[in-house]
Amino acid sequence: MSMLVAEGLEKHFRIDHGGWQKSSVLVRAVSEVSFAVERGEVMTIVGESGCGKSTVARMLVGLVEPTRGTIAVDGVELRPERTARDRRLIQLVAQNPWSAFNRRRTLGHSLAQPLLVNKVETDRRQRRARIEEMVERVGLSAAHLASRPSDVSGGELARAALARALLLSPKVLVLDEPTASLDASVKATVIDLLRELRADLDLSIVLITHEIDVARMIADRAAVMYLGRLVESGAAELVLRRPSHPYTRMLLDSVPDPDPDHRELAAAKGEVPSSAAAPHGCAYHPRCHLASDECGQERPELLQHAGVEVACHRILDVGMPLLMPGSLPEDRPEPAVAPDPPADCARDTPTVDLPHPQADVTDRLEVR
Amino acid sequence: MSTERLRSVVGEGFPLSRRGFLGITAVTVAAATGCASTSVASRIEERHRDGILRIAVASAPSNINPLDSGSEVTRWIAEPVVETLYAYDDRQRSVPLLAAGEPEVSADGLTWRIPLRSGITFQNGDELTANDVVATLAHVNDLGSGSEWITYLLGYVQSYGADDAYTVRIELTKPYGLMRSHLTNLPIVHRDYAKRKDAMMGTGPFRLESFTPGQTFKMVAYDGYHGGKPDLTGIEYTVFQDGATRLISLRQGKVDLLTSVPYHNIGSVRANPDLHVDEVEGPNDILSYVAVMREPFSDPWFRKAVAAATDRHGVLSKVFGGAAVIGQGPIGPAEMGWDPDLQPYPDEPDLDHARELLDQATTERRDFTLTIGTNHTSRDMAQVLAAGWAKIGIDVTIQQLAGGPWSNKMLDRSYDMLMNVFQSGFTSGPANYMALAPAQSTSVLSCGFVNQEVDELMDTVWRTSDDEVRAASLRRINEILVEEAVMFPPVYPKIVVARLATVSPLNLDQLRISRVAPQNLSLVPGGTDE
Amino acid sequence: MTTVMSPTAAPVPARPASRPLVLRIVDVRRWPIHGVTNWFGVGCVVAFLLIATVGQLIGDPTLLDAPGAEPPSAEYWFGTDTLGRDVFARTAEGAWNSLTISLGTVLLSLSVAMPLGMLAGYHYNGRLDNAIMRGLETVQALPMFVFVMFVLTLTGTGTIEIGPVTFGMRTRLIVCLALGFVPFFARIVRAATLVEMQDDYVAMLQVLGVGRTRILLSEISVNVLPPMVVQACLAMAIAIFAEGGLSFLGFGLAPPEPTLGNLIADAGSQILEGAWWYATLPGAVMVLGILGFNLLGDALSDALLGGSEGGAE
Ligand SMILES: Nc1ncnc2c1ncn2[C@@H]1O[C@H](COP(=O)(O)OP(=O)(O)OP(=O)(O)O)[C@@H](O)[C@H]1O
Ligand code: SF4
Ligand SMILES: [Mg+2]
Repeated sequence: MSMLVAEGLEKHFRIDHGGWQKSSVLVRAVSEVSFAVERGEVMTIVGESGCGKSTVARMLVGLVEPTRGTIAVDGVELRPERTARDRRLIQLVAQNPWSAFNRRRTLGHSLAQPLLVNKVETDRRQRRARIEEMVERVGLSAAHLASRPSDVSGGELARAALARALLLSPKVLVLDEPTASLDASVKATVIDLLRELRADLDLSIVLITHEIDVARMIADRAAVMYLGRLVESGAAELVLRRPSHPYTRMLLDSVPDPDPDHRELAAAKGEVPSSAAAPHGCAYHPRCHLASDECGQERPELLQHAGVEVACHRILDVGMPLLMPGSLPEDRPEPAVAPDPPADCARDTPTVDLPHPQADVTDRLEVR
Repeated sequence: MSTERLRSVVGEGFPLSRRGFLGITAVTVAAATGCASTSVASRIEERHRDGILRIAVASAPSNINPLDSGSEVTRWIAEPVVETLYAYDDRQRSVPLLAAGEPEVSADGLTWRIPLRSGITFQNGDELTANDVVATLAHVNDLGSGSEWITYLLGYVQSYGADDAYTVRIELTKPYGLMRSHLTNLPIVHRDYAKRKDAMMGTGPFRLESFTPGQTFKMVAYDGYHGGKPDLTGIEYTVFQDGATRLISLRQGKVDLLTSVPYHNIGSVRANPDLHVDEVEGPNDILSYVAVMREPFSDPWFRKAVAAATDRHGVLSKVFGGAAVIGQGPIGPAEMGWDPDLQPYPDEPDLDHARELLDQATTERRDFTLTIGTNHTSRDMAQVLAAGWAKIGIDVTIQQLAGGPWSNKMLDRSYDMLMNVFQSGFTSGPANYMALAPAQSTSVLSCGFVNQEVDELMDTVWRTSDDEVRAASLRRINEILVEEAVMFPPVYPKIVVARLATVSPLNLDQLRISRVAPQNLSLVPGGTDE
Repeated sequence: MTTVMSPTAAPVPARPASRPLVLRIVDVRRWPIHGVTNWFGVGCVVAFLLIATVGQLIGDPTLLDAPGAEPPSAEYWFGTDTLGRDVFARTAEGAWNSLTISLGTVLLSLSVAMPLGMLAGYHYNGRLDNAIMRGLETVQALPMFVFVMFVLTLTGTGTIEIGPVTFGMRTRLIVCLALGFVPFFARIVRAATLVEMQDDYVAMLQVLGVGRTRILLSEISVNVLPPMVVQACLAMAIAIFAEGGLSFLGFGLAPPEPTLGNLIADAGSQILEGAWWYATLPGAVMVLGILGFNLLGDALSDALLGGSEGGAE
């Protein structure tokens, strides 16, 4: 049985425009999103800004109540009102480590909260010991507990955020753009840490990102979202390296920047329509070069095709999946000069170990 | 005593306006930008070309009907506009003005017939007739009109009417000698204006031309005036609530005359060679009485001790800048019944004597509350008095209340000691009957003091038509109240008016009964030589 | 924001853990007060407090000592007023009275406004928020100065006994003035709470299972308080001024109790008499307090409210 099962998730936001006419708009942020994540598996959700990734993450951890759909972890269905037990099943690490902590509280205070309020560890000394153990595990020292967020670096904060989520020993960890605001070198160490933790703790991870290279480094499976819907999902080496859906292709195509630091989806072509006024039929049709009349009228279903699930009417006309540029190790240029890591950063990571995508793939194949 | 009147009196010092608040700023700015006296002199000369006398007053009533209030606030503005049937001559005797002669009083004293002069016109041209007097009487006798005069007339006046166009008849329920005083102080207004609260129409030499409520009042000379033609072409009143601002505007020559000079500024006014200041003894009293029905003032020894320890000299010099006379009993030096030989209290308090008196007191209490109005003078006075009483071990709490709450306190008798400043010239001329009312056991304002002799004398005061008898009765009342220490005002404040040297001198005999009489003044270009 | 950074000591911040807050406040070297203006502000407040406390030991504020207004001399440092009282003694006592009234006003209004504003902010656009905001608007719609005068006119300057409780003039002044400050403070608290609510850390705490009350009391409050300390110092200055204004109009403490406001009010007319000392010296002390509390507000906001440090909690 899968560790995490999301079934038909939908979230509609009603936005009131005020005024005396009281007009309101329905934003369909997420529609019919279903996926499953196995024990110890990393699933990544990629997509352009505003496609509903964060909303999915927030539904998973109970911050947003789904309009429709169910979420189950380890066979337990989770209600929107989470109990202490639910919280020990699934936890979140938010996008921005700088704002994930109360700026006027010490990290020690912040890390003690999950143990305290969930009555995991009521004895002060044991709680302290457990926290110290966890911070050391993520590569920090106990001394960091006395500092406030402004006194430590972004990488350290990201680690502290991970530590805090892990203190409840969840089975599923949801990471909403965990590396988006970090420097390249720091980013790599954080991803290393994630990989390590996944192996050690047998964690299931939902990794939300718009950095394709990050996704490629760590993901076993990948799902692509467009305007609130899944358009393609399947094994990561297929979806992220040999995409089938025209949108995914466009997405990966738009990652030609040789500098991996900037390998993001921001440069995708064309205007993204608003999810408040998603186009009829296939939502992608106004931007799709293959679009036919049918595309503008009927929404394509997610169907099995060449080992992945794809939602496209003209999937047969797309042609054989292509190997996308930059997806093979030899395509990937090494940075000419390794960026100088800040002093305290170097201290955090005595061995700067840049990930090796090839090893990554084999590694993952072995796991399978 | 009329609570309405007291309200308005107490209200005078009530500085609700923002103007008071800005006073300091005004003073500072004015002081900083004060012009040289030569330019002031030329500005005054320039200004005086229009023949208008400008007067600064401390406050103005919202209701300008001169029949409704006898307070100087209302009447100082109404003075040039309205006249009375009889008026005070310079020896303070009542002589005919609108009346053609002495009233004809029936043998039983109950029917008064007053002949009117013919050919007198109001400022709208209508001739004065008995109907106007009747309309005036109707208004002041109407319980619903809210006129202060009702307190003087209720229970005495039975009916009134016009025998003919020039004869007014008043029927009384009992002999009422004080009626003559009332006829000398009650203004007569046009019959159509008797009830109006937003207009004045009288027979005086000036007509109210326009006004901004609470701010300015403009009068112009009335050509059809029956008396001598006034020198002035107009009179303009401006309200300056803040004393210092008021004074500054006089110093800068923006106004010609100041009706109430702030006592705490009297020094600088006296020292200024460009100003003339008139300080006269008048019916200007510090109402001051104690709750005799309750401890601690129910104890005569306590009362006497407090009276003996009263720092009269401190109040005289520190609060009134010397513009007052040391107080003894309730009746002051400018009032009927004044007894110059009755001097039981020394200027400086005799503390040893006061302590001896206090030792005889049976009451255990050594504290009381002194309730005063919100004006500056009362506040200073209360502080000086409290410091004096503290010297014999009496702890005084000062309570400052605005008009309404102050008179409520008086009416429901929840005070220990009450104090306020009260001027009575426009209701009773050279006397202050109202100040004595709390001593009468039958009065609604009774302070709990019961003395049959005082009650009977008081009756005589109101009933007799013989001024000698009235004066004698008042003298005796004063004596008893001093002896019993029921009313012991610390001082009798003088009426203080300041004017520019370029304004003709005031008639001080009229000022003694509160009359400024601006209608008789003139502007003297080179200044007067006094 | 000024914070103590010790770059060389990272990653182990050099702060000794869990020193009592009082000690940390008292330790002047730890005050991150930089620059002349901040120290000037501290100096003003200290001088003001000295006058309000030690100064009271000098002279008698109610004794009618001199025959009248006298200029400053060795005997009377600030001269005497028209009633012959020592202006220095009155200024000292007045400073103390103004201080207690404004401090009481600020503390009372803050203690009401903090919970109200935080609740409203937490329930943004909810029914509780709406109810609280309507209430605050009603209070704010009252012309405050007029309202205070209305209440104080009705009640006079004496003491009032309601059952066993005695409301002195001081208490009533504090309550009235505090009422005026509550909407002002509550709005700032609400806005600050709203800003905090948008912050990720609140969502994270919710995901971690931290309850609403705990988030409000131990997380949001420490972020809302610092701006409030600055506002409170500003409000202290306004309260000193407002009390002065009310005294000026005769609604302050009952005479002969001095306050800075009624001293200056009494003195106003005396400038005409040439008694410059009567208004200017108490005025200078008032300026000292107003200026000082303003500058102190800026300087202290971070010094005192860094949140609890050290340890696991
Ligand atoms: N609380 C909300 N109320 C109304 N609309 C919302 C709300 N949260 C999200 N949305 C809308 O839902 C859509 C999806 O938002 P979401 O934050 O999930 O996107 P995202 O994929 O995470 O984008 P990004 O990469 O920018 O973080 C957006 O159009 C957004 O405006
Ligand atoms: S369904 Fe049509 S529009 Fe949508 S992706 Fe496929 S071809 Fe393009
Ligand atoms: Mg997002």
